[in-house]
Amino acid sequence: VSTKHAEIPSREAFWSRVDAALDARRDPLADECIVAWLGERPDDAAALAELLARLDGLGARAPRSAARSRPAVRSLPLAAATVVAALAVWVALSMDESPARHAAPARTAAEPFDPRAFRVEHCTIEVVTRTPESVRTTRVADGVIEHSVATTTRGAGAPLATVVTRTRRTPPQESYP
Amino acid sequence: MIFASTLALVVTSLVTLRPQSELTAPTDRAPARSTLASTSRTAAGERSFVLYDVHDFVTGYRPAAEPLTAGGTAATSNADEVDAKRELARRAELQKFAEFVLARLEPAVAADTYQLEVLGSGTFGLVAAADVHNLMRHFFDRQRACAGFVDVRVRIVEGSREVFARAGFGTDTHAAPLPFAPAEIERRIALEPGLRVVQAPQLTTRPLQHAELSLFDEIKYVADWSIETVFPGPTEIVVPKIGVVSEGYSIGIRAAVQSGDALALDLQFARSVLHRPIRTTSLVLEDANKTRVELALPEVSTVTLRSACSLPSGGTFAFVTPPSEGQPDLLILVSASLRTETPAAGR
Repeated sequence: VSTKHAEIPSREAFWSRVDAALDARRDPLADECIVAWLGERPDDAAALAELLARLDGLGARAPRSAARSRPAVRSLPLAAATVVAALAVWVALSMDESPARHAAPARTAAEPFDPRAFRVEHCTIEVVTRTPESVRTTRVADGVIEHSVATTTRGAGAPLATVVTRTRRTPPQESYP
Repeated sequence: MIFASTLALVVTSLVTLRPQSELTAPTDRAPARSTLASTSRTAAGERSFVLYDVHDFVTGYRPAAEPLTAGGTAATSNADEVDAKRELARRAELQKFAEFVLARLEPAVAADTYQLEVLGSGTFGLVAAADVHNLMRHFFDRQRACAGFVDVRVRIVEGSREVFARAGFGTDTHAAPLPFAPAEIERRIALEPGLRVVQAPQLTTRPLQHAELSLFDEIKYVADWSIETVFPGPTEIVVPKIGVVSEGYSIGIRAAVQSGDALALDLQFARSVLHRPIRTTSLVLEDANKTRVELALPEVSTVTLRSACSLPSGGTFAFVTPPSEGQPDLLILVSASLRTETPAAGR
């Protein structure tokens, strides 16, 4: 495989070869050099598989028309590309022995944090809107919400009137949203 | 207050004064768990006074002073007053530091089992039983032994409560832990068109060291008018009074490394927004010309968040601002992580 791969010097040359095969209405995966390149470049294998799938979806790929007379072979290139891509990714991951991978394993979305590791001692959120005429405050302190409004009349010398209303109590959250 | 101070002096005089070097010595002791257990058995109930030298955590703190009055003489006469204010601010900061530490001892210690004396200049004293002192020693050893930095990132996201819920962030105004890794949070924000990240400040600090970041724009406006009689003349002129509103945000954090993968966090965050366009009104002054003038009536909304919490490294808390008349809902995501490499310059 490696000797075949040596015939493609760069990624640009690889994609040129793929383009040439498609322009000539040939299946790129029939080219051993392209397959050899894909074996060592899982990213390109995935990209080519996606490209071929899109071409199949558009009906723009030449081998598709040739394969109409052979239904069993119609999806062979796509399947082959998928298998090659999956194999290449598996090989690449299994061979990756870099220190970073072992030192700090990335936490995935499927690996949630332990809820017991989260703890809130206190929490206060305050929203204050100030204008020259009034101050409106909404305050949440450890689950208790308070609204207050302080108003003044310009030039009238009126004392500041404050109304405080305690509206509801929110129980502490014990589970994930 | 006087009674409390007197009691503190009495207690202090009755207990043994230990050298502060005991708590700042290198951490070449036996495993903490066995040390604590044996101490609890042998010294339960006996209180002692121990000085804690925390210069390495608090000496970088430089409180802002009041601006000096213009003019050399006034500035010179105010110097002592400014120094006194700074010293008071330092002591207040040290008091907060000590309370932060005492609140995060593991296992938790009841407030009535110790007495704190802030002595100033990076030193505080504690009257407590031996097991509490052992917990303190163990806590400080852990912070000093930590070679890493604590990253705290706050994302301010605008949207509505419905969108927050749809994106999986919940709508609870209490702190809600998110079961997502940071990359998943970014992905959910990017995929939800109704969410918009308006600010995302990030701070990196050493354990127990306070870090602050403020970024404000000052916007001036005409707040009022007055009529002044001036020379040459005499003549009456109308003089505007200029007001200033601030728009921006500030963030202050103090973090500590706890057992396992956990980080304790003390967080203060504030964000002010000036509503645009600014409302105006006009009025006619009672001067000779009956001058018509305009005033600006700025409306400023300030969201303040204060929280003390613990979370695993890489974890995120979500806070949603309470429903407030005429104000958009805000989602505040606070993430903290411990990392071992040196922070990049300029962060």
